[in-house]
Amino acid sequence: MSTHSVVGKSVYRRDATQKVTGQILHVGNIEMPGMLHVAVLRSPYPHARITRIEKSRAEALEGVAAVLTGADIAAMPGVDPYFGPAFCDQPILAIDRVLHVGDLVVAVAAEELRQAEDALQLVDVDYEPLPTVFDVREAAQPGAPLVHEELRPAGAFADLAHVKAGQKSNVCYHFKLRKGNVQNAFEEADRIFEDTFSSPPAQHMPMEPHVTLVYMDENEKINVWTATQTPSFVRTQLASTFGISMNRIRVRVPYLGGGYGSKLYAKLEPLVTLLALTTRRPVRYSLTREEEFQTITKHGVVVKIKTAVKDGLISARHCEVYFDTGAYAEIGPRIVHKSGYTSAGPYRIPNVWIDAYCVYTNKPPAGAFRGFGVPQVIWAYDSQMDTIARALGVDSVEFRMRHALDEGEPFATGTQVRSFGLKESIRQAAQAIEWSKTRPPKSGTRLRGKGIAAGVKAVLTPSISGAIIIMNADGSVNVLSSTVEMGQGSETMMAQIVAEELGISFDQVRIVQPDTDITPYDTITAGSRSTYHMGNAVRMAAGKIKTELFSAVAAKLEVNTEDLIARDGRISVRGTEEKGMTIGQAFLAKFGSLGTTITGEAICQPTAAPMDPETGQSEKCTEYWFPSASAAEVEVDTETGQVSIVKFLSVGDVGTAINPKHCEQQLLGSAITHLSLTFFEEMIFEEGQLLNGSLLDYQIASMKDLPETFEPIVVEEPHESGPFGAKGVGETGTLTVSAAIANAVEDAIGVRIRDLPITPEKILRGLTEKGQVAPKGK
Amino acid sequence: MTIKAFELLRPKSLVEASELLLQHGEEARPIAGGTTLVILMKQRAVHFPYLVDLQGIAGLDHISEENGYIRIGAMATQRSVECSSTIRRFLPVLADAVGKIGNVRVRETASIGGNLAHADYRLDPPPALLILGADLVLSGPNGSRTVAIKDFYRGMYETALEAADILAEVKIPHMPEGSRATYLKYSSLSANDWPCLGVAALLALKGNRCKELRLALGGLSSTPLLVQGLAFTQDQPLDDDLLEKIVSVVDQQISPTPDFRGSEWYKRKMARVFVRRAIREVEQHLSA
Amino acid sequence: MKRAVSLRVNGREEQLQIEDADTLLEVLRDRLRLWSVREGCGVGACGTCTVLLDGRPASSCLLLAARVEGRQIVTVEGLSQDSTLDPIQQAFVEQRAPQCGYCTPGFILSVKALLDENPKPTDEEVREYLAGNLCRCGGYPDIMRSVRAAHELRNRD
Repeated sequence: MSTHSVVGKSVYRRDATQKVTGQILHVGNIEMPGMLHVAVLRSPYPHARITRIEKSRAEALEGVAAVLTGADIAAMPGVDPYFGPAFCDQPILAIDRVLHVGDLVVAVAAEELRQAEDALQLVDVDYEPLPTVFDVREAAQPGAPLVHEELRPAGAFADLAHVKAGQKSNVCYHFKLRKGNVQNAFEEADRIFEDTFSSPPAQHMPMEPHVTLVYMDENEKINVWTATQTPSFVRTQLASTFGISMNRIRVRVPYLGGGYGSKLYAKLEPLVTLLALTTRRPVRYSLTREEEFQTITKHGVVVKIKTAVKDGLISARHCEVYFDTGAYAEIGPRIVHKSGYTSAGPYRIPNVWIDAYCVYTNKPPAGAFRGFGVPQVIWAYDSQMDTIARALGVDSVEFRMRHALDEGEPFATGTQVRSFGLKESIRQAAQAIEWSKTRPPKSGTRLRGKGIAAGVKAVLTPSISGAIIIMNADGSVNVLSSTVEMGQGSETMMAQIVAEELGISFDQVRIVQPDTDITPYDTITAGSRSTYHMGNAVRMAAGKIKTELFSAVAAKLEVNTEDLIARDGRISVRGTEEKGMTIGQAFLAKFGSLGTTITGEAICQPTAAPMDPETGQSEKCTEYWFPSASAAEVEVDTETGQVSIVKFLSVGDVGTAINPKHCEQQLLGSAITHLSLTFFEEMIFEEGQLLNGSLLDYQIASMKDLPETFEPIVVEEPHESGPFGAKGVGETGTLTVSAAIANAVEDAIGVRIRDLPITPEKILRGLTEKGQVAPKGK
Repeated sequence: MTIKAFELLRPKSLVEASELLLQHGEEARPIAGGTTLVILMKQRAVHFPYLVDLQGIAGLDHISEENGYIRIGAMATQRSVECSSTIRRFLPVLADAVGKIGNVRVRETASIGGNLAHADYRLDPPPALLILGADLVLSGPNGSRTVAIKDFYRGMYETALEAADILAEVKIPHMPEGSRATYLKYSSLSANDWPCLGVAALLALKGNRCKELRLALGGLSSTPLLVQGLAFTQDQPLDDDLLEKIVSVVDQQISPTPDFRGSEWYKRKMARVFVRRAIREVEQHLSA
Repeated sequence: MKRAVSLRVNGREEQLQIEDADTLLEVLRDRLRLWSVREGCGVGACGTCTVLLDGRPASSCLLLAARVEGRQIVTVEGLSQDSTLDPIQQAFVEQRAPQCGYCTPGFILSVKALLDENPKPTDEEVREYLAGNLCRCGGYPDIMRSVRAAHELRNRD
């Protein structure tokens, strides 16, 4: 049983009252005197040359303060017209060519939004259409129309350092992993399984669209309020775009109305800053939902997976993975790298060959989405695990357990896995769905089936989280952290860890929201990394304060610091707790006066051994792993192909649950999103034109789409260097949903779906092709 | 998304509204609940310098039963139709169909007349009104006229409404003695979505034989379809053979247009499934 | 066209000069600073801009402000007078329904309309009524429990 006072308890999130009264601060609530509003004219073509822009009528319209084009920006001295996290390939506004429908062409800032939108209707643009490419595998072929004339790596990430500039290809990144002798293994195999799986581009759909407000203050500092998951990165980007020092840019982030990866890196900030600089006025740009669809998407992915089996065991796996990153690389190359190396699965496979490609097409850019590309590869490998087990006549849970990596075994990269609750997750999923219970015989037009899937994601490594904690003489603390609270409960998590470490109450901890003038650098709020990285940083920072307090108390009481404990707002001698003092008294002992502060600062910076660019091998490719399993029971209506979910279990190894309720919410919430993606979400394009680009046509799960029984299962395999053993949980519930459903569907009706989403029509086609359509209704 | 400035005109009578529409021609449109028009104007897909607001016209939102007809004013909200005790009592199938539109907020704002006049092919009420044999009262500059709903729909977003016409009322006869009806909305994607198709069926039985059968389908092609040529079902036992004949007749009359919610192949399949299900469901109600 | 209107918002009479083309959402946010009302989709599908109009839920993004004169408009700001939470708000806190919280005010108003109309709804009725409010954090199970808890709190009071 835990001896912790706050950690491991499901304390309430402190922002709940502000949220139910609607008074919580979002960027959209912030106004500045004289603030201008932005509207942007976007490309109607998937690929075209801009031959003429006529904007004088728009400029003359009442209320219009600025009408900007890409050519205007390119002519501005000192401004880099291109930005982007992995590749510097995205113009703030299209300069000479547009690369996807919805590419930004002309921006207007006006007194009122209506005036800005009126002005757009007065701008004339002439285009000359250019050759297009939409299919990711066609785009990867030599000779395909080039989306970018040459590659422009940004050089920001150490793990992409080997990517060379100037190549003429749509493949902007190629990840390779080579282990063992795949060719031999295939030659010697008893059976070979080869499948192609696909998942379509989709939307993150945070209920709060992107919004950014920029103004110059009296000191010529650029002040940015923005809905971002990366305040530190945004500042670095703006400093580089405008060639100014970082301390002249202040990026602040209040609460986010959801992110899920869509709000990573720079989005609207360069454009809005430029408009603020041009007009010398505060400027705010809020995207419409329609613009969201054109701004960032989840990668559509095609996976060709070929597996050799020898003596009942997988002997080799060959994966060819194509990520459609759209017109701009965004963070695509890192996604391909990080998910690419996991695409053979968390299984013991002696020979592995992986090629993962990040490919430009004339579609809206794709970026990180809750899961960072891993759900798309698990969709392939854990669907195929079922297919293979079925073909071999082996129970699929037993087949997974036979191959699942044990603690300390090497992953395909050569890295030994640690704190790896994979088998336990599979075991618990199987138990909860009553896997071993005999299935009733199938009859009628409503057939039931069960499915399980497992998988693993590794945390992005290296990355850095810094934190500063200021303790006041009354024992209360302020935590300075650039982790963004977007609903996941990071503020609560940090407060729990700090309170635990300092032996103070949860209520005595206040979190200062991201403000690059005040809060230290943090790589990113994403990728299930904040609990571990920022959790460790705040714990260490608190530890430094504790050390100072202990020294003061030890000196005063003439005891050893090792004998002291901090608990209930007191520092006392272990075993004789009455001997001790309050924190206030400790401050007095240390400083001789009140009103003083103690500051602790720490950085959590796990390191990785760079992967060999030719083989993907690394002593340590990640700091920690988070295994996931899902179990589903479905009922398929064989007349319509419609699937209803009778039961769904979302299982994840979280290390230690700092806040069990929040872990459960993450496991269920991410599973709901992925059930939605599994069954109906898909951005449907025709010649580069999006056909369902609004919430009237693009559907996301509502309350009516929930499983009848729906439970989270938290597995705890503490991590030796996680804060109190914690890892991360934000993405775990996304990973294995689709494969579990497809596996259950096959169990029910014998039809294997390989292309997401799993629509009733695909199922009915499968049944028809199988020639086993159930008897007509009575 | 903002709407380009326009002027809201507020007539007090249908005649005045028609006159305003006539006066401003293509520059004006009537606005009822506005749930669709406001979206199109925000998207700047359309713009009208004048909107003629039907909200201020008295007596356009009634729901009543008189002289053998149930009468619904065109400005009655969808939600008021769905929840009306009159409609629930006399035409429960219509309450059900209207209750399946969009979401509750939209139904609280949108009007029944606006829904019918918009003539989107995926709307839920038209199939129900087709099997009920509803009439629509259109008011124009030269007075009003009545059009049967089966003659109202001319194409995608096209109706019998002429310039300066306003849909004023829906008039529905009582259901045939002893008949029951159902409307099945089938959403192939999220439960919330537009229908892949909608099937309305009205059935009366004499013993276990079919006395009267009416079928209508929505969501398949540009206009909702009232199935013709079902007289052969009269006095036939409602067995699997008859159902098979019925679905064949339906199959010949539909020509599904593919959309995100189903290919032509799938929509044909689903028409067969849901026509059967609708008929069987009504049969069960009748025998319960 | 510009026009002077008088809107009754959260029990107060607001005299405003507006455009006929202004939506109620724009007026509530940009003129009255009622930040609980938020645009999520602009097409009436997500529910983040929900308000109560004479007690009934509506998408303020689909309403022209000039057409709601004389109606009682309520936003979440109007629910918790004098810092006392409405039982529904209290239930949402206790059942831990908000995650990012962007959808929360819309859900609370929809729940209020539902419980005012149907004090003891079945789960099926709740799902049906709330299907037009979307939550991408996936807080639906907690929201479902909040509705049951709110119903109990209201009956207790």
